[in-house]
Amino acid sequence: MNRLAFTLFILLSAFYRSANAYEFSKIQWTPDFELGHQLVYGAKENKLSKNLGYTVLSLKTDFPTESATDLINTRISLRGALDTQGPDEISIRAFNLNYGNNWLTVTAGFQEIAWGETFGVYISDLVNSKDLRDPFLNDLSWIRIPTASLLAQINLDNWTLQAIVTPFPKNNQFPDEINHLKIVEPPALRRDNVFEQAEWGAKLGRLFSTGLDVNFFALYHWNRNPVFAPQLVGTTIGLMPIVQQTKSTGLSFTQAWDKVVLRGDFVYHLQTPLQPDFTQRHRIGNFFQAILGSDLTLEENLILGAQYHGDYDDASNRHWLGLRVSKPLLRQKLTPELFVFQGINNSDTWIQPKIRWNTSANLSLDFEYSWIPNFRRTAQPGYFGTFENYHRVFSWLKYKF
Amino acid sequence: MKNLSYFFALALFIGASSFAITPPEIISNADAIRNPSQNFHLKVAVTSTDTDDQSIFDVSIQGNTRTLIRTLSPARDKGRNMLMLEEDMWSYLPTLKRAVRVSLSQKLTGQAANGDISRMRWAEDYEATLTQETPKEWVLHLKGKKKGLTYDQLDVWVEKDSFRPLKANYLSVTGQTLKEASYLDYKLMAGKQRPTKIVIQDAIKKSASSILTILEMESRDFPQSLFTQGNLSRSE
Repeated sequence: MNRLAFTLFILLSAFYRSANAYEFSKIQWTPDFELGHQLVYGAKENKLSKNLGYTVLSLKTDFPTESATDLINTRISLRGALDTQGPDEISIRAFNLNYGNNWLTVTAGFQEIAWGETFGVYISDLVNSKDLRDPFLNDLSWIRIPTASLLAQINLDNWTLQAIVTPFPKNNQFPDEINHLKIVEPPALRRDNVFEQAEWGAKLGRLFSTGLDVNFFALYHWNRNPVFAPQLVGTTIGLMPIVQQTKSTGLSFTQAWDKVVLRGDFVYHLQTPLQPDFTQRHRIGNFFQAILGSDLTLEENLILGAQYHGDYDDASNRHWLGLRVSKPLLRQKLTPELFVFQGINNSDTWIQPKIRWNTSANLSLDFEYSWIPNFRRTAQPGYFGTFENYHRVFSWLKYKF
Repeated sequence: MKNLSYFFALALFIGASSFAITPPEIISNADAIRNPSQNFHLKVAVTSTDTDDQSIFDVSIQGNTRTLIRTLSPARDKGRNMLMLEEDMWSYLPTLKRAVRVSLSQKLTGQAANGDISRMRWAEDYEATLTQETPKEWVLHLKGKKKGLTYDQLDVWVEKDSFRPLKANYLSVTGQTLKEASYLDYKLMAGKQRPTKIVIQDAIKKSASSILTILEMESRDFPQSLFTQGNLSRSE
């Protein structure tokens, strides 16, 4: 990607923005524009690993319909990024056509499809692959990789049925290296015909009169969990990502009682590649993941959250506990948040204090510190085995208009 | 002659009874003043003493059970949309591109709760009883018919001539006044004189208040598929 393309992208963005939201022949154009900057400083290695400026242009176009109960719109969203520490990129975040009436919604094209209810670790969010190049960046809107999919959703009373087909799936994106081992480009997700390579699935949801919202889902897909096999790269050992088709089925639910919200995600992966630690050889097995959590909203929007997370496979069980506290302060200009993710029978500890500063109606600044201490060593590795005694600072500036 | 007097007295009593309005009817009429019937769209600005920014929301309401709130301003919160189905509410987080379940009583901004904007009809949610009557106004006590409402109980003052709501006290389940609301600046909107300014004040910390200003209001039909969690992302 060259910088000329990025400049053109900026000019195009400015053009669309100057158009503003207006009505032309009853077609309504709603542009949105975001400029931002991300900076990641790895304190342990004393190194700037990301210094990225970006712009996101989104344009929603609503077309007039004969019936007031029909809607047709398109959405285009592009993101251009320049990184002094990595590659410059332009990516399509959305490019889709959406039709809706009283009982049916169909969306075709590049899109993100969100599944799941819990925070921190997104075990049910399986439809889109992820950009895992920055392992501590947990913002799904940034790391979800949009794919060309067909999504149909039927709504009947309190029932919802969602059907998804992704004919041309995409791989996860991985960092260039892990623990000084080079990551090899994974093989393309190609089969002899589109029906063999496609990902497809469905989700059936019901909102009960008690307020219980339950969704059952099943997805035939390429494995989303990062699993590697050693491979010779020139004269050194590298890591080759394992990509394999697998089936996942699960359940998500939420229930709210006044100030308390209970959430849960449960997923069962059948015959999927597994690797508890990159130093171990991968194997194929069944894998169950469960997250059960609750949030309590108190006075002045003080939110306390607690979450249990368990991974169970044929050979081992691992458990974690997550805690989250946040509260807006100083006329809602500052929102400090603390997230702690602690392994119960494994060595993981992830401590992440964060602060959001709303400097103006358009500008916000996030500061985040991630620390993976090695408080204790256990026989069983956690998710962050390769990051022990690691800490880093992350800042994210966003200007939206 | 005496019998005739009894007859007239009885007829007067029956006539007066048939014209006496019931508390649920008063509240239904007050609802009709606050909003158009059934489906409508409004744009509302919220300014609060405890935040610097003015928030503007675009609200689509279908009946009393489906509401979609789009955040138009401040720009940094654009896309932070909300969906209400029955007594259940979801907030769309642009950072996750996902809808997250929230409670109806959770703060929207300042003193305004999510339900202050999303649920704008009392008659279907509350049992009304008349507690006081003056020549000019009725005072009604409203008690929630179901759980999960924004407020468990309310006291509402309604003007007799016009059915205009004048003020309301939002009460906790124990009857303690949490907030006081005033319905002001009646103007012609969607075919009727309606309150265009609602001041919500904290009952204890009097300096904390929010002003909801109705900028636009019109009757409008919507596709039912607009009011789904999946559509929150497409409403960004």
